Amino acid sequence: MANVNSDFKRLVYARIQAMPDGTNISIGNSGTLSKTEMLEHVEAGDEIGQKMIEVEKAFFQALKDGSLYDYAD
Amino acid sequence: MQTSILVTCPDYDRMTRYLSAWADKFTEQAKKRGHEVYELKEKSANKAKFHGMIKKNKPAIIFINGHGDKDRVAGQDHEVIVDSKSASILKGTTVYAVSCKSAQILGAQAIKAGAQGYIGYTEDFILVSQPRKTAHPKDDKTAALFLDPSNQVIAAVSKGHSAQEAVAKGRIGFAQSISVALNSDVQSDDDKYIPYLMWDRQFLSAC
Repeated sequence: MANVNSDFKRLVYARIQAMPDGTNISIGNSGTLSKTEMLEHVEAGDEIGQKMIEVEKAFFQALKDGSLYDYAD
Repeated sequence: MQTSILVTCPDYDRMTRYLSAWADKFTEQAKKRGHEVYELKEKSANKAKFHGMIKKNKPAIIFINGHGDKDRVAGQDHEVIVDSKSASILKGTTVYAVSCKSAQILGAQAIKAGAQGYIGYTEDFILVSQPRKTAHPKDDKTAALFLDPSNQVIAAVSKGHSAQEAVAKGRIGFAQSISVALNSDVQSDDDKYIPYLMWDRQFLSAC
């Protein structure tokens, strides 16, 4: 299980790396993060990093169960 | 149907600047439609003025923009303007809070205290934006993917839809943004933001 989590963390890291350098993400009260800061949080595995992993997990789950396309015309 | 709407527009960081810019877009449309709109901008978005404005003008709709948590929402400079202890101030109103997590506890408390409806997010509200648009947030097409659907929620409430109906319209709006991002051309990076759009769609809720 630890390996699965570690692999997923690497996947999230790679997906953020693929974002354009100028991307800013504002997450709740955590402030606005640059791409570099997002990568640092994921790497550190802190609360913000865990949130980013949680967002990506929800996305892949939605891709798997088809809910990504819910409500789409 | 004309109604009265109270809008809070704090502006002290990137998130609140963008939320207030889109609130301003809604306000312009609402005024054109003949609604009576009361705005609390920047330093006026404080607890005393928020409570005073509600008591004096008795707005039917309250549109809150700002940071928050499970049991509270804030105005300018993180000042809490309403929390679960003061939720009775929302009695008789329909609220839409573009704020983190407040639909978890504050929303339920507001309904218990007699609010007509409370729409918010049960998790963090996430916004992706482009730094080169900081001076002109309304021109940020990436942020529009997130905030246009949000504005569809408050637009629906102002047209007399129930909180549940407004949430349904907001979710359709987010789905349209996801569709736009999925079908964006190869030069665009919008598809990279789909997980964050899905997140906001998933946690938009009516209490």
